[in-house]
Amino acid sequence: MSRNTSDIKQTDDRFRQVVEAAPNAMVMVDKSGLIEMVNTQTEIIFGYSREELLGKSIDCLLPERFRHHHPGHRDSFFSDLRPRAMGVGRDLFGRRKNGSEFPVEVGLNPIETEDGIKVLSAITDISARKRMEERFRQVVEAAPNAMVMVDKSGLIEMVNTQAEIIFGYSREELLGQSIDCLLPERFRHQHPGHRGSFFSDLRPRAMGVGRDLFGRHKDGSEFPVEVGLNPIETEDGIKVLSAITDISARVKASQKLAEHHEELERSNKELATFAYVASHDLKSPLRGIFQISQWIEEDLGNGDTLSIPSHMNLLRGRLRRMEHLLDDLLAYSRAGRMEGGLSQIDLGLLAHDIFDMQAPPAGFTLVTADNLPTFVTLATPLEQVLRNLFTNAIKHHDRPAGSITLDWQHKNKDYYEFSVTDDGPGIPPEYHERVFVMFQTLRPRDEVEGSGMGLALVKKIVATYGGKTSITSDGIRGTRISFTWPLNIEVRTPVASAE
Amino acid sequence: MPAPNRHNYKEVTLLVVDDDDIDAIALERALRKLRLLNIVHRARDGLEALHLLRSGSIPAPYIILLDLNMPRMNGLEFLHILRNEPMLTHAVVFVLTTSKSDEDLVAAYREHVAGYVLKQHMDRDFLEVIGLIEHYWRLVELPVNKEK
Repeated sequence: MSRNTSDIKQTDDRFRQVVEAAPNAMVMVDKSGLIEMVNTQTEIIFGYSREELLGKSIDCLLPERFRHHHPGHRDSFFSDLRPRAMGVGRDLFGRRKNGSEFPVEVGLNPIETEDGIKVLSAITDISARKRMEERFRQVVEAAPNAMVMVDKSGLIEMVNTQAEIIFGYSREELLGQSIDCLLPERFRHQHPGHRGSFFSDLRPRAMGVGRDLFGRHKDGSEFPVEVGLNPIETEDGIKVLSAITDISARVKASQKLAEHHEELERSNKELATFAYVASHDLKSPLRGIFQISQWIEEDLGNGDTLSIPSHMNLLRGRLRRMEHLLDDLLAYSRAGRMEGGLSQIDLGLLAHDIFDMQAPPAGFTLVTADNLPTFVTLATPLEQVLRNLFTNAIKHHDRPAGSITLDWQHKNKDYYEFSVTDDGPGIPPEYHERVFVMFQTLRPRDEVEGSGMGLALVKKIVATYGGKTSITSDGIRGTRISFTWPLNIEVRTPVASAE
Repeated sequence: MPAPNRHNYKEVTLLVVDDDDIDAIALERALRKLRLLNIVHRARDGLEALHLLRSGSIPAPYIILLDLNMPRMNGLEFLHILRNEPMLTHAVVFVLTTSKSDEDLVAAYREHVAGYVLKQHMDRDFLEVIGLIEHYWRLVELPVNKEK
């Protein structure tokens, strides 16, 4: 008996020494939760002396708000005895003697003793770790771009405010969801594969190098993003912290730059064309005038005065042509700049006014669709377009009488399409491109006086407001010129008008 | 200056392809001044010139005086078609133009023109050009359409 007792005592002592030597607080309670043993660490982290604790309920080490749950948890532990961590998924807190709380982790171990089953709990003060975690959280929160941390299966574990802002979801909506909800649907099926390959080669890198990446806002809209991926090792395994930057502004800026570049190229090309045609079309009347002056001199020298009136006629014709070319050239260079202001126009009335101003020959009529729209637009450029189309239709007509039709349709939600159709000689399809080039005429100017600028001007004005000009004609009878015109015109800032 | 004895030479027909009436008149005045009685035909653009040539309205031998900048079919387009037509490919063509552009010049010689003459070098009417062309047709044997 004494031998036995001393054996037991020896074992008991050894057990106590082990518990005492443990690096964290150890508390042994019986089935009713009364403390039977504590170690020095327990005294240190809870601030009670050993005497104060022994025989007390374990509940005194818990914040009051958790105490009433505790008996239930304890009972369920006793009904399924195996070592495990307490309160998985919940944050656990200890309560010091002075009433302050601190985060803890608790491991539970059932121990069979002679007096029945006890529970030995190992309690670790995790304040330091929690502080680190909190600091990490703050760093993530303070990041200038959206940060999203996901676990291996792609579930979101942490987001910052920026992420809430750029994706439009609240934090609560995101946590626990698959990261896929932040991707446009068409990319979702590839994502698990990409994620898998990231986890198989863990190093910080940019996502999808060479591909355009898009984020998806809660409202379904998409925006271009750049994503940096960082693997982070945590206690619950490896996580991926992604830093997501909304690059809409940058993409927009570079698009704008490309547009400017295009615009510049176009205007350079136009300048080159201009230099070329100016060397011919503007110079040729001058050369003509020079030559006629010589003829006059020669003929007067030979006493031939009869030819003089016809020379003078030709001379004046060339001067008028020169003036006309210069006027139209100026109009062309100003197309889309001399736009006046917005005003409400009744297109039917406007068209008839313009037509009458052309002083058309008696046999010519303008037929307008009777439901032509009344709308607010820049009247000046629209008038310019119609005037040029009417002039062309009248000037190039091959018969003494002719009919010009103006009709329209809604091309799409942003544009009207207006069409001016004549019953003149038509323009053969092979010239359909050429007629829109500046200074191009289909008949010699000595037959039909014209600068060759009309359709070039029309096309340029229409293009200024984002519209398109097109031509339909079989070259046998009739020509139809259609152009689109914005329903709501945008008054551009008059930057370009500095001349 | 004595009138050249035209009968020693084959009559050369001139085909003027130019949309500008003043240039056409100037050419005729230059011919008259040099007392040349060659038949002159006029086309106002490349298309009209092709019609005249294809219909055989221009008797061989002939020399074409070609402007480049014209409505409908310009001089270079005309040259390109001309050189690809077996009946017309041998035609002698002088380009008379205001275009100083190197591209036009190279493109014209690529179509084997006999000469590229700038119009602004012709302050003294077309006299110099017609003088040059007259010498040319007197010294040079021109192709006569034997296929006909």
